[in-house]
Amino acid sequence: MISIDRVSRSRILHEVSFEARPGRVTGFLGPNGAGKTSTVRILLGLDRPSAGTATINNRPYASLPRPLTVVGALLDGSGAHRARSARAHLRWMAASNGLPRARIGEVLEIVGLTEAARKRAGRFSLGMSRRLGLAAALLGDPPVLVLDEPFNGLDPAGIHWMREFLSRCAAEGRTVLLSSHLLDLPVDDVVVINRGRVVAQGTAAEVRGEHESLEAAFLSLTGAASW
Amino acid sequence: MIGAELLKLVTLPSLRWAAGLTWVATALIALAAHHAAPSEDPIRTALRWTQAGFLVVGVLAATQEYEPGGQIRATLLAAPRRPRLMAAKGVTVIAAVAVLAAPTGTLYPLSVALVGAGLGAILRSALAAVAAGLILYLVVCPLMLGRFAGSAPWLPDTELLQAERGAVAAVAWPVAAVVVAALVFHRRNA
Amino acid sequence: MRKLLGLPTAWVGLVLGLIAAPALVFVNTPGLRRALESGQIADLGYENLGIGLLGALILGVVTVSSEYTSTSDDAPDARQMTATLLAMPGRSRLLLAKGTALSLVVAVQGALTASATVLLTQAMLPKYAPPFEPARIAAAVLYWVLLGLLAYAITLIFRNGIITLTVFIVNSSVVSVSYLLTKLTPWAAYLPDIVGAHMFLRSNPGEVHIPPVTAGLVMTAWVAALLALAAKLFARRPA
Repeated sequence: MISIDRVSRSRILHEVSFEARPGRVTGFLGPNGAGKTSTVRILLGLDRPSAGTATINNRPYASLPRPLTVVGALLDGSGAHRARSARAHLRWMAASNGLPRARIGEVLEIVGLTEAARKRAGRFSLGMSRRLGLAAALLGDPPVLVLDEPFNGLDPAGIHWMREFLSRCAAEGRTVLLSSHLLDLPVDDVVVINRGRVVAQGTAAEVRGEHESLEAAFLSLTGAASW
Repeated sequence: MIGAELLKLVTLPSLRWAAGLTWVATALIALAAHHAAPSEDPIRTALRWTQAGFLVVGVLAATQEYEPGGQIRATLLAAPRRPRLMAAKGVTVIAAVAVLAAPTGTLYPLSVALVGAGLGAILRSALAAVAAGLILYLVVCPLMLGRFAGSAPWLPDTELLQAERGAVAAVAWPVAAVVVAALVFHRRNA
Repeated sequence: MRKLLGLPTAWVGLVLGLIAAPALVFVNTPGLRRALESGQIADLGYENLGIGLLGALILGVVTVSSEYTSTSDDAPDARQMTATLLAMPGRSRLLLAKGTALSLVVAVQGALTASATVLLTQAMLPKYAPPFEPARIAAAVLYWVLLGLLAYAITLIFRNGIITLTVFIVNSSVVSVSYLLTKLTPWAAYLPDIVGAHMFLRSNPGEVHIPPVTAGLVMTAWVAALLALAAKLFARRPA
């Protein structure tokens, strides 16, 4: 369970509030620059809000004793130093949270990087970097997943795989929050943000409302129809 | 956490290179110095140049987080409590450099490496931190010493030249650099 | 072709270098007065120029290393070099353009600082300062340019600015390693940095005396050889 409670950050976010519940994929949607990444970074303790609180299972991220076992996060970049191999990167991450080494092989297998485990992260393609980032997020087998633009850089097969994967995670009872500027997503709940304010939230059907599609609803909500 | 930070240091190729080159250079220059001035301690003489290597090691240990790839975010996701993370990093760098510096028989390289680590964490760019550190140690310090001899007890490198006068400064500079780095790091958005 | 140096990162470095070098010289000059009371320095003013060199070095390093800095977190291999090469596929011409631009900037910077320093020394310490000799200033500027190019070539070879910066700053500090090596073998006096200094310093430390013109030629040969090696490597390597 993720709760964002009246989070503000000067000029970027204005009293953003929403929740993401277990067993559901929550889409955090908005145009570029709407404040999606800022909200996610505040949720993960990377940035500080000027007001409001963001918690995961009622605790701020920074107070989690072994955060990787609670939340898996995918941000831009793989998070790996380019001179380190994928395996070496996952090894220190596992060590930092006291996770078993055997888990490294498992997550590499899940994201399909077993063959490239010894390759330097700097030589990875964009899609491989994203996979490595996801592998790191899955290390602690976390019940909560926070993914910022997870489809960026993936090829069609990768996008298909990611959609299936997210649905499976939710079916297993995990909380999945994914931010994206894409609209054609397998989401159960939707939060639409525009210029730092939440302009709509509810189930996908509720947000779509009278509109013929989620896309039409999104365009009218964010005023981007004037394009 | 300390284990993870140690893993990060030992699996970084540039750090292994810097450490290896520093050792080789120290040995070579010590040999040359022994020929040139047999009365002086050759290792201390060699360190006047190869302290740069220890500085680079310190800088790289800190700036690895900020190189492309965004490792700092992975680090903070794995260890979101910044004061504890800083403490773990400090302990790890001290331990690693202490091992590296053991053959020289002095603690002075530790002082240089920590100043380097502090500069690296503040500037977040290896090139900028190396330039700043080297200019401080190899240009500003000798200049200060040459113009104002009285400044010696406050300069970070006096310990190397006159062990009895520089001990306080050799401790104070790294402590100051690390404290400033910790404060900056604690406040900064990652 | 010099538009290449309009790349923002390169410019930041250039401006920094331009400000840093004269500032260092300026700060240093007044302090000299104290040192003078104790002994005579034949090369007063000219010796200070050694410090301004750091500016030339940093310029040489930045010219290359900004190209190899990754521009994206998502694709760490996306370097500015790729874009530069797409814009200018002729690699040798690209190197030439960069080298020329670097030389010009360093020369202008060097000429300004060198003249300013020597004139400043004369103004402040008229009794001790050596006369203003354009030829020696020119030699000093040439030394700067050659050293800047040397840094450029070495950074290009290693594709890493830290190595170059460390080696050069360490070497230009108190007593240079090259100088230490002259204790072992007189041939070390022909290493590029020492031989170059013979171009404009008269009272050089070291037993070997090399006439200025020979010194200039030897240093130019060093630079040319390293640049040729760098160019050869650069032409073969994938971007």
